[in-house]
Amino acid sequence: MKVSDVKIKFGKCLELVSMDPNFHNISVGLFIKKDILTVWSYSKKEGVESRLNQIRDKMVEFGGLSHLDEDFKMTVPKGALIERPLKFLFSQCVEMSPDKKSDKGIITAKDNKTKLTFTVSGSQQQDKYIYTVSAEGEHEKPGLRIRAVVGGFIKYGECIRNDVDSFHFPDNNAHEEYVRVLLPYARNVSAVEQMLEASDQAGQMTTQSLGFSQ
Amino acid sequence: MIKQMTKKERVLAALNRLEVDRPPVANPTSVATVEMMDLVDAPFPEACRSAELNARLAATEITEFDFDAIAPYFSIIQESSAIGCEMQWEQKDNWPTVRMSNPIWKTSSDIKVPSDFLNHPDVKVITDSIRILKKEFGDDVPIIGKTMGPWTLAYHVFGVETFLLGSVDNPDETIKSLEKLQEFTYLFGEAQVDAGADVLTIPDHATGDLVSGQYYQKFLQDIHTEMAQRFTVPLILHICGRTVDRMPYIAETGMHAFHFDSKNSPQEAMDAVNNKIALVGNINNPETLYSKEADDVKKEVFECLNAGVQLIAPECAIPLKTKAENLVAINEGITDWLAETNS
Repeated sequence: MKVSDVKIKFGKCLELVSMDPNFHNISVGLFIKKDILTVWSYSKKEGVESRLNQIRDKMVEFGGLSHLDEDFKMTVPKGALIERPLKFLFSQCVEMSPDKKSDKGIITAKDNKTKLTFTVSGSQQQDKYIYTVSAEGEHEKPGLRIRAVVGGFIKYGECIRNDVDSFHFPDNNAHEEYVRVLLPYARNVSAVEQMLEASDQAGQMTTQSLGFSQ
Repeated sequence: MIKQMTKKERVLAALNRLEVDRPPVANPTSVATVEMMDLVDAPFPEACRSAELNARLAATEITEFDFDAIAPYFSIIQESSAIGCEMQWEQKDNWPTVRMSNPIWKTSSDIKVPSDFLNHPDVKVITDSIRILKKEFGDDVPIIGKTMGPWTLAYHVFGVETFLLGSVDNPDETIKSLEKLQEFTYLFGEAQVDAGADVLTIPDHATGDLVSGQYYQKFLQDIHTEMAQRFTVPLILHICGRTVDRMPYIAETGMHAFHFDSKNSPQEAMDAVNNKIALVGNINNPETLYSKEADDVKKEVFECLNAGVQLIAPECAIPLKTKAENLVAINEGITDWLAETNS
């Protein structure tokens, strides 16, 4: 398919992974047109179609997206398009082992700065579905770390702070799928920012990357 | 009303600051991306080392984006590899580079052109690719070759810091080095012209980050002036960074065009060259083409065209992860601008 056809058929590219470690290092893109997401690659390698469907299925499994009865396609969770978690989810699904299974239990993650373990739980409170972050383990001031995690959800999930330890999504609805994807990133924003910056720098030809600057 | 031009007529007219039927899109550096590598099965680094793969990837400029020229030399390291510099070829998603921390030469007396320079595989890949492209696209599509200027080669063979400090401590030795290194520029450039290149880009990274406009005048202006006289095809000089302080000197060299960075606004660049040289540029790469939307790309195309920039292009070799839709937007931006200005 030509570039111009891809744009018409699948819409704009939300995220592009340069090299799929699980399939010949091909590039894979996540495209969006209206509420339909499509996993697509320009590669014509044998088996590429099943690989694209496999990535799509991983996004459905790990991100709670809705499978469409058409190759490579799915819909955004409950019609709520929040780009950053979808980008994280897509990159994870391309890079994870095809055998990896999703965790359907409570949403939890170890802090990588302290010995705390964070848990995020949600409940309906009047007209909003509120998510609360709690922590277990040894730390002098766990409240500081919890506040930082909530900050991470605000930064990457477009969430709105409800209290120092809680937040909700802009549409006030429950989005377990986004919370599960975002928690590992929300717990350490500075490291994630460094990772994103390094990823952005790869493949750029600038005076810095060429070594032609101070 | 100007009759419809071929791509080659359009590019050559724009380089000569003549009227065109529509402003051309011609990146003098590179439009290789990971998506196009997959489309034609020609990934990096192999596409920098095999003429067939190189030509296949370069051709996507025409077949997918309908640009007005093809530039098959994607990186800036082919000659340096042939000279003997230590290379890091990287993989599909990154640029091959020279390990400048391990320079191969110390003084101008070390500089020698290897007897088999033009037959080295990493040089021949470009000349062979140009032949393939010429055969495939005929004479209606211009091919832009590329040959590194002596300043860039000096960074590669001496190391950036050593070379720049030397230019302060012993400027005569620096001039001697540049004069000897330019032999590579001529050899490789002429070989590309013989193979069919219609235009040559000369990247010579006296960048705004590292040296001043006075430095350009002192060390490079005469060298570039001589190149403009000796080469038989139009030349496009490429220097990254903030360069508006040296643009008046560049405009006096007799080169046809200057490929400029987005750190200089289109209007100030046009003012600086005072219609003595054509400008090529200057859509921002790291932010606009890499991470913004098609409408942002079109906005920058409009800024260039409103200022009178003759050839529209990304400011440098585009990021390998650039999304194809943003490259499509460049030509769409020109079409929109023409519709707006003609209505």
